Amino acid sequence: MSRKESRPTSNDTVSEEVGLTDPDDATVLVVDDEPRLLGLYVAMLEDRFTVETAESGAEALEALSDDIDVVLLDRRMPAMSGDEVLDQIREAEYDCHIGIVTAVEPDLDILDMEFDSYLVKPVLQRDLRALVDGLLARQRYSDALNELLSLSSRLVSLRQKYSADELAANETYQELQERKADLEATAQAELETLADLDELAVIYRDVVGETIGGEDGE
Amino acid sequence: MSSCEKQLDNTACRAIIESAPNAVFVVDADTDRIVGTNEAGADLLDRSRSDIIGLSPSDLHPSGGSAVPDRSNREGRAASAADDIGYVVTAEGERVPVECSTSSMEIDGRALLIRHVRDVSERVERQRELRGFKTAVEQAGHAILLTDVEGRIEYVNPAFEAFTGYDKSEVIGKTPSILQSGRHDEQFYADLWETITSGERWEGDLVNTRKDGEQYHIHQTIAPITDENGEIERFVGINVDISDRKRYERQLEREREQLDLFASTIAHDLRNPLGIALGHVDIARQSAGDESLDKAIDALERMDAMITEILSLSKHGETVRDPESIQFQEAVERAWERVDTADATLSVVDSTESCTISADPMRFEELLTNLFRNAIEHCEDETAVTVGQLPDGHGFYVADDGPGIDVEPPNRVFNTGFTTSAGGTGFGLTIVEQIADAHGWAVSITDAADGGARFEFITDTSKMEDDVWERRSGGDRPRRLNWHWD
Repeated sequence: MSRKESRPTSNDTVSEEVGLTDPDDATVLVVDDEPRLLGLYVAMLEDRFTVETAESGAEALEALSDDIDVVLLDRRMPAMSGDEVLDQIREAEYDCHIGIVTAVEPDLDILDMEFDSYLVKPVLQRDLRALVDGLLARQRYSDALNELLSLSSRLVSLRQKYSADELAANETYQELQERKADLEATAQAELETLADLDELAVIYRDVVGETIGGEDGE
Repeated sequence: MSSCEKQLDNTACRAIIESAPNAVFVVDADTDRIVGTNEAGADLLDRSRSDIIGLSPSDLHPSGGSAVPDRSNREGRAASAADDIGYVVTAEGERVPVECSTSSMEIDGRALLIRHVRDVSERVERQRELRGFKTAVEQAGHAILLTDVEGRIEYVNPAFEAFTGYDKSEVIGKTPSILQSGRHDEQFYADLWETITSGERWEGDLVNTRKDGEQYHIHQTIAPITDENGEIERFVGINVDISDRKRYERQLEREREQLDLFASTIAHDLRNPLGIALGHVDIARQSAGDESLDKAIDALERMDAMITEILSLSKHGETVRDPESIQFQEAVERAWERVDTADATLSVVDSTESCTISADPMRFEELLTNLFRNAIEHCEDETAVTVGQLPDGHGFYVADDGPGIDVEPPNRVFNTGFTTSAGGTGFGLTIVEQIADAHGWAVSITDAADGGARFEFITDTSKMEDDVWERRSGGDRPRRLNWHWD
């Protein structure tokens, strides 16, 4: 089900210098056990990105390579769950950004999950495109900033579901809060430099703000 | 002693009779006429002595029958205390239960019968009462047993025999431990025993075993019975068979679990195809620019919202996490931000500034957002939503200036799936009711001052006096809701 479509490129200097993928040359791997959903995602993304698909966790791991820039991953799948796939991708240290796209509402179990972004189904075309754009943009950021965004995404989703008191009682949550403060200090300079870049402003505001449902769906 | 041995004269005899605590009637055995009585005798019959002298003993109970029993032997010295209860009739015609014993003696050659008559009304009344209690216990549908202070069974009623399968004779003298099922640990029985021996009543559910080995659930109450000095002399145990109730509870539980599973399966199974339909319609809308597809997208998104709410209802509808004290106004404003409020405005009444409310924060917010959405969906243009405290701090209200609730009866709006709004799912207010219920709050609907709908939540139901309602709503107590889903 793999499709490739070449798009006119508009290389900017930043991505060339650091050897990053041009957004329009990006390859997205979509993983979902429902083939019709895969078809939908392809239809939503194929005019702008190269889209590959996998119908199971095993297929996903097989399809993975350094060419994949973004993985969109379902959580609830038979045999190997998306959570496991996520762990394995991280363990193998592929250099891709992972967005969870699932019907499962985020709960405390996401605290340990190293995804970059979380989107709850059903998704509209603009949500999905914004998600991929947002994840591609993160290729330009330092590891610290990426981790900060990933962390913030998790912490914010939980704030929607649990009260401050309940979260205060959760050790992992507290540890992650502290980690987040450290990362903010580390990434301070980078944040300031990038402050006028619209995409960062959008992503960062949505991640650390109190509202979910921004352009990149966090 | 020597003076006592002297023959007593008539005067002395009369004085002795007079001083007797009971009614005494002296009867001439030959003529069967009463020849003497005492003050107590006159009191008993409520007649003067002169009226009594000359009557036959049978006149004291004119209706005949076995009135005054007397087992004494005419020749015998004295009767043993007669247990037979008879009665005499007073001047007023009142029957007084009495007990009678007779002695005979001979004075100056006259054979006399001395009849001692004792009023036993109190004893008879007590026996009547006991008979009533005994019958109540014997006929009761609950198993009742009495034990001594050591816990040895002294009495069981027929229901006990029927429940346990043990015959009375098999359990008397044994302790109720013969019924133990092994389903409770030693500590359980130790606590029970400690409670009742300290003079307290013990109440609880437990599982016992019948003689045939079958287990059954009972609700048991054990109370100490104390004597006049407050010392425990016995225990009474009352067992209600709740096996049916337990079975019913288990069945409900199972059905509820199935329903939950059903709801979440349906919800998740529906989500995928729905998402696919929505996504493709969305793509078509983007590429073809056909605006009529917006309606399809709206409809599909509404279906998704319904699925979310069905999940919310089935998953944690009836539970609240430990309530905590939260700032009322902050919670209201936070909830407002969560809702797509468009042109609607929120005003929080000033008096709530420092108010706190004890609630599960997340569920309280869910309650508020559902109410806000409800207000906005039902009102055209710029809805003004007002939130404030009820008088006397009994609770709070959420009111709007929309068209009000034109539904009879108004509480029908809480029914699952009930909606009058094109965009509504019909679950929002059910969720509201459920959250209120889970907090133990009473919710009611009234008309707001400016004609809109006003939802009132009484959070402190203990203070919910009728006069509070009257003062506030001008005499019309708002309809209490029925808490059942129809």
